[in-house]
Amino acid sequence: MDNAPEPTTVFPYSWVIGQETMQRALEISYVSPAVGGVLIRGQRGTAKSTTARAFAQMISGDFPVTLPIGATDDRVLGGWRVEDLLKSETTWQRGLIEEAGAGDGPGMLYIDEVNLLDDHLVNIILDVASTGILLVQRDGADKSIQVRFVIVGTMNPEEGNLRPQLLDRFGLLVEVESAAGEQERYEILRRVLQFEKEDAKSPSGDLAAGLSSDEERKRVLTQARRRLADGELEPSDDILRRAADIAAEFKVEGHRAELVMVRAARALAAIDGDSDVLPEHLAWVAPLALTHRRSPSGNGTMQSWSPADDIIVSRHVAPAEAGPTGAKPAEAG
Amino acid sequence: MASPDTGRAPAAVNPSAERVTTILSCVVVDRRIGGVIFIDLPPGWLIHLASWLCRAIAADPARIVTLGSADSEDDLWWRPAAGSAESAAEGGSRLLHRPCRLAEPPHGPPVAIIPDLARASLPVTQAVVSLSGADTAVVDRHGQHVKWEPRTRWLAACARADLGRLSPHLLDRFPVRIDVADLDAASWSPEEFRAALADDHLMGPSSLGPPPQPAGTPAAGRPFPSMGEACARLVVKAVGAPAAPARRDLALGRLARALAALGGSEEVRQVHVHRAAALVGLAVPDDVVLPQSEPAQDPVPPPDKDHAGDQESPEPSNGGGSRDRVRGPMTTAGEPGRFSALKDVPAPPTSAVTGNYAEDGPEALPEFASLRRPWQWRGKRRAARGLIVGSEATREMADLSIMSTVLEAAKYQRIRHVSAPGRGIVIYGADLRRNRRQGGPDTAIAIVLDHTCRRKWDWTDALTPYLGWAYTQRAAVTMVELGHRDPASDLRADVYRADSVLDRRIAASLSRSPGRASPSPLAYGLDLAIQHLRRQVRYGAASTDQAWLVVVSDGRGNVPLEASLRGQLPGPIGREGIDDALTVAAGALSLSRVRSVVIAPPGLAYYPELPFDLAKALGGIVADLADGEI
Repeated sequence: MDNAPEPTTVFPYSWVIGQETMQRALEISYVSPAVGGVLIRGQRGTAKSTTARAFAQMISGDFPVTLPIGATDDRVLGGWRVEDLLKSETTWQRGLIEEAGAGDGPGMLYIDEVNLLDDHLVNIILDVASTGILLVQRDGADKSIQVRFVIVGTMNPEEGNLRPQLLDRFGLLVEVESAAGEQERYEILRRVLQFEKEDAKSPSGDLAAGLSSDEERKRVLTQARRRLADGELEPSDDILRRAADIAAEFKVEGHRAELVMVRAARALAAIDGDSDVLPEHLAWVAPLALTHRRSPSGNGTMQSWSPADDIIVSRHVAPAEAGPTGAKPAEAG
Repeated sequence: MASPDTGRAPAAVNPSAERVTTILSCVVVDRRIGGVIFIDLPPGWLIHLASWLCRAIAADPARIVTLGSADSEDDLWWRPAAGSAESAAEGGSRLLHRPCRLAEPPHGPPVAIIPDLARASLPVTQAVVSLSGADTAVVDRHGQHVKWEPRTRWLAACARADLGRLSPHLLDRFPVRIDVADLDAASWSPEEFRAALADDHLMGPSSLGPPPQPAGTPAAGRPFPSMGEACARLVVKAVGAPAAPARRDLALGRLARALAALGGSEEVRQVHVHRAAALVGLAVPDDVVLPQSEPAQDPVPPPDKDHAGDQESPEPSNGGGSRDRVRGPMTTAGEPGRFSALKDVPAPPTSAVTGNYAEDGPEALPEFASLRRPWQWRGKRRAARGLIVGSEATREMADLSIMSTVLEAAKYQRIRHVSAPGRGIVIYGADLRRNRRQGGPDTAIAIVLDHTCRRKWDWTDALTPYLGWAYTQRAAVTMVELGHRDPASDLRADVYRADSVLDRRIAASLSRSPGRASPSPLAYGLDLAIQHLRRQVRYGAASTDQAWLVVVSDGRGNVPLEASLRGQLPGPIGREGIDDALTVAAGALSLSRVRSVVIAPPGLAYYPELPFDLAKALGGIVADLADGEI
């Protein structure tokens, strides 16, 4: 007999306190799967897993496909069902990657404590994420399956960083911190204890309101996703140039950074209900797209985003200067 | 209250036992309080605490899972199980696979214990991080997919000296810490001794007694007590936000709530928060004291100027709540400002009031990335060493895991025997599995510290590059000291081995004082260091791929080797000690993969050539403290 009551509902997404950036990054990744997934990096006890799971629950009504730490290759890639094999029957069992990518749109593969995964599992995921094709050639099976999924991972940097190749696979990186002050900590404590008193069969008004907020948020995100799918919010040449300039100034390798920035800015504009992609959208998503793509510091650690970086970005998103005639360049000649 | 098993009255309960039972009672009420670490728990107690807890939640103590230093991934998550003869006759199989131990649906084991958290294997620590506090968990191994909702209560024991070396990420899963070093402190009376001989449940004079009957718990159909704003703010203050992790707020809040539930209260009051804080060794700030009475509405005094910063906090997003602090004089017996209001639960001993969260302290030195499989640099040869933590596919015949290989092949026997009937077990190359090992140190460092040359010289900077190398390479350390104050013998060196440079003895050695006019048995010290390295390089379980021999000395060893071996000086010695040191040092030349360096104090006035002679004999170099190595 277990004396504690067990809530049968997941913590509402709208009840998460103080992690707006993380929430917005998850939303961007959902609205525009081409952005490529989110890595949530932060100290212990910062609601990383809680937020990711609550988001998945809000969007799909279920926990995401999860890659656990001790997973074996056959469960990641797929394999024969063991009990049937022992009866000389061959029944294929989908692996986690295929399960994540099996839906109509890109699914979510959730990896908690992604920096604790074995290297060989990381390599498998890297290969599939980069090509979009799941190749299974094991145990006598020969399959090639197209899969589309985004990776959402959480990690505590105290336990080591990811290899650069895997870091680059994540479109956005969010650095989360513990609640800044006692007021926020108090709010978090109050909210969690309140949730633990809830009974899913007869939720309180507060919980019902939270769940209703989640439904509304899902509606907004779904509509935003539809707008992008319909071709709305195409970025202007000015936005593309600014994104390229920002990436160049931060000396990031390759061109993935500006692609992610533009896609994420577009998704952000759709979520906010704007009619155009604005430089302000670029400025907001730049830290998420650039932090993990620039060169590490002298001692090999990843440089966190700083106010100096904000100044650099702000130079590139500032309004265009007037030409020598006093007119704006767009109006001149 | 008599023991439920023997009918005997339990022995007198000591304060630590009372705190233990109180905390366990709270964990009964609400498992989400989190894992509990018992600091300096006497050996053998943890299983009894777990059994007590199981009985309190009406679970079978046989289902307690014990996790230790030898558990591999397959031990934790998956096991082969025997099928029935009937199922085999019906075309089934005698060999089945079942989730096990931690992955037992629907909710996992009721209690999991780790008798020594500092020595738990890597799969165990990873399992704790994955499962503790999780709403849902999955295992995907060897064709099995298991999903369950963990409701396991986690108990662990750890020595206080080891806490600072553990991963903070791991420790965060155990937000409740209790010092129980004196759990067994009371002496036995003859009657208690006889009672313990007859009843295994009576560990001693500080036996726990039977689990209490909780009153007003949620199991009785009553909801959890409510916690008002004042108590919630008190919790946050007691934990020490924002520096402390947020999980501790939740643990302390739930602990206070559980205490209120055990007492039959419908509301959490400040006295419950104080009691909860005292249980885990947290000190509520002196300026926050209990109110005059315990009214339904907390009094709202004007804010104190010392806490003006609180008034700058933003309003809560929901617009509710007050930022006022609660103050008032205490009325319960005891001095104002102290938590002597804890009438029901004795205050812990002074040593337990602070320092239970060693990871917060400046002396904490956790191993970097200890929850990851350590990256090991290997030379051309692959050696089978280290604790087995699992198995993995392989194409080589070295270090095979026989059972894993056979089990993998077993899946396909029926199919394979169709084409090859009558043969024994058929194993293909794809079935081969090798042991996955946690790995031991494959690098080593031996440091010879000659304290007689130190005087006012701070050698920390000079040693830092080598200590840093040893840390990043997870090198095994051999420390040899000579010429220090209070040695075991003036004519010999002291030696010890440590698993890593994080060992506290290393820091103590570096800061030890030199003896007054002490002899310098340098030859003996070098001999010890070289012997240890020779064993590690050639014969050790962790066959060393590379090593450093670091000699911190001015080369003026004045004790002949024979004098050290005999334990007495023969008489006037002249240069014999120096020559012996050079002779012994030459033994390092035969050690492959060992590099040597001599670090001499700067500005040597006498015999400045001796460090160079010593380095030459070692086949090494002298560290140039000004410009780097030469």
